[in-house]
Amino acid sequence: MDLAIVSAPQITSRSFDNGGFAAAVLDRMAEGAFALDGNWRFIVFNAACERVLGHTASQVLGRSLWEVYPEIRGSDFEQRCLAILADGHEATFEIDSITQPGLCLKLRVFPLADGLGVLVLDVTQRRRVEADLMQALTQTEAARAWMDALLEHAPIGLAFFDREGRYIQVNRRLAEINGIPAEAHAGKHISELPPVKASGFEPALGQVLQTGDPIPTLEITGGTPAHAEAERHWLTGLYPIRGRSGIDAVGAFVLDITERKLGEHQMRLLMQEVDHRAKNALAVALALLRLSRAGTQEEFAQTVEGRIGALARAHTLLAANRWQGADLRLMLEEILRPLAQQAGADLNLQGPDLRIRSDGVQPLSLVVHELGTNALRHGALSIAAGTLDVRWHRDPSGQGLHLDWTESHGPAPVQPSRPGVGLSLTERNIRHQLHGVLAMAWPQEGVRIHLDLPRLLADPD
Amino acid sequence: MQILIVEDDAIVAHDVEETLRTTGVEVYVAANADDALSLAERTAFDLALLDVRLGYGESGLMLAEMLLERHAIPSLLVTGLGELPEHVGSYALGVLAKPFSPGDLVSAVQAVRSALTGQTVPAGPAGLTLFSGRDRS
Repeated sequence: MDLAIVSAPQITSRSFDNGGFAAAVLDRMAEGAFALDGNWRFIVFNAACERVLGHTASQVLGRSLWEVYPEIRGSDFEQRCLAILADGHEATFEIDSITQPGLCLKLRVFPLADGLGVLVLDVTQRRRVEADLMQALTQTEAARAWMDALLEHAPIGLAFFDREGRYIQVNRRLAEINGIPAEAHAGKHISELPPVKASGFEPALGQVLQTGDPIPTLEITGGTPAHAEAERHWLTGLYPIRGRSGIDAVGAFVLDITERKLGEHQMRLLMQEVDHRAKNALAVALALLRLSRAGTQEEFAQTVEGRIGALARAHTLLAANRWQGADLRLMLEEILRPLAQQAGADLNLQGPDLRIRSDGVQPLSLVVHELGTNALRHGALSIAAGTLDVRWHRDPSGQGLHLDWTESHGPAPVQPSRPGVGLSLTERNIRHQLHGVLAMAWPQEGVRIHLDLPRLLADPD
Repeated sequence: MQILIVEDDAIVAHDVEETLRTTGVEVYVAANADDALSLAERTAFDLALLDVRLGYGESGLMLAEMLLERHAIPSLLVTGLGELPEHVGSYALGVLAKPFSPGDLVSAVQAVRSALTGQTVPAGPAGLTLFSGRDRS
């Protein structure tokens, strides 16, 4: 297409550029170019303008800008043109096309002797690419922020190593484990600063770099650079980070599982303890069963049930106190009160609050049960008028207990010619298990018992 | 045969004592390590029947070592514990698991007696584990 020239000034293309060179150049430009005279009429409109602005040169030349594009009246474009005409300085700006929605145009507007020249470039594609890039950048920044937050707040140590085994980055937790600031890690070789001072981690890193295979979990034991002497247990894992040319780096996590390991160990011990105590309790119950004697089957069942019940109450008391002993008064109440209530006898318990050592609870329970059962069968607890006074105090030495058992207003006691199983068990329990002394007397008023148990009590709080 | 029973639970000790007495064994009972060592000073026991866990934190394992080293008294350990240290065979003849019946106890003592006198060891009760001579060397 020849250079388009408005007809009004009767300027031909040849007279305009003296040989057609300028017109040819204009039409071969990728950039659109048009010119307006002092009356806003198109005097130049090249081929690129036809593609971008939606009209042909023949449609616009000689016609006013406002006639061809009435929609731009009052627009930002008009304001900018008026400003350029006023101050004589060219300006470059980008606008969204009003005439062709969806197009973005970059305009360079400059004053002519009598009018305006405008260069037009379609930057729609570039703007799209820029927008896409911006979106990608925003997403990348967001992902980076998420990753940074995750690294920063993760309760496990995280580290990244380069192909030579040098730290690239670590998170706060790993910095704490290693005892030096996170930023001080960069560039340090794993051999200088292993996250765990234990054989296993460095070879594992080498293995991942060599084979490219991850090591999902690996348990190691050792101190840390911060606490070399403290042996702790760690769960670690290493995985390759692949780039276009193979393994770029290795990521690793380090989790302190010492507490978990201790918990597992304690759980194992606890299970062993439960197993041991259950078997011991069975052994004692079986022994009680074998040792118990009675005249009738019913009496035998009652005797065994009473003794095993005393054992069970001792266990209940211990369990309620987490096997840290038991309260003496509570034990006496639980064993003796039900016996006293059977005939309506009086029971008086008097003494300070004292705690029995855990290993004394079971034997003392059996002793009190045997003495109480004896009082129920033959002594003060056998009739409503009877009274049983139990008084106790701590020995000044600290762990010893003195306990006095006084029966009164019951039937006159008879000293047995030889000890029965119950008394025999009681004596053995006191002598062998409680390391104590039992003194019994059978005056007419009622049975008198003194227990001297030098190692029974827990230390005072 | 003279047997030393070291058992802190008076009821179990009484039961074991009565059971062994019926077989003609001469039985002595101690409730703790001090009493056991004191009895061992005065009596040449053929065997000690030791509860692994004694009262007040005392260890039957340690007592077994002391009885062997000081008085050449072999021990049969009695315990409700499922696991014992690996080296226990170096100072104990075997282990009898709690709980056990009187028949188990008598069979176990017979098996140990045979082992000590170099006779063919009869099959003991299910809860009895006897260590080999190599374990004790």
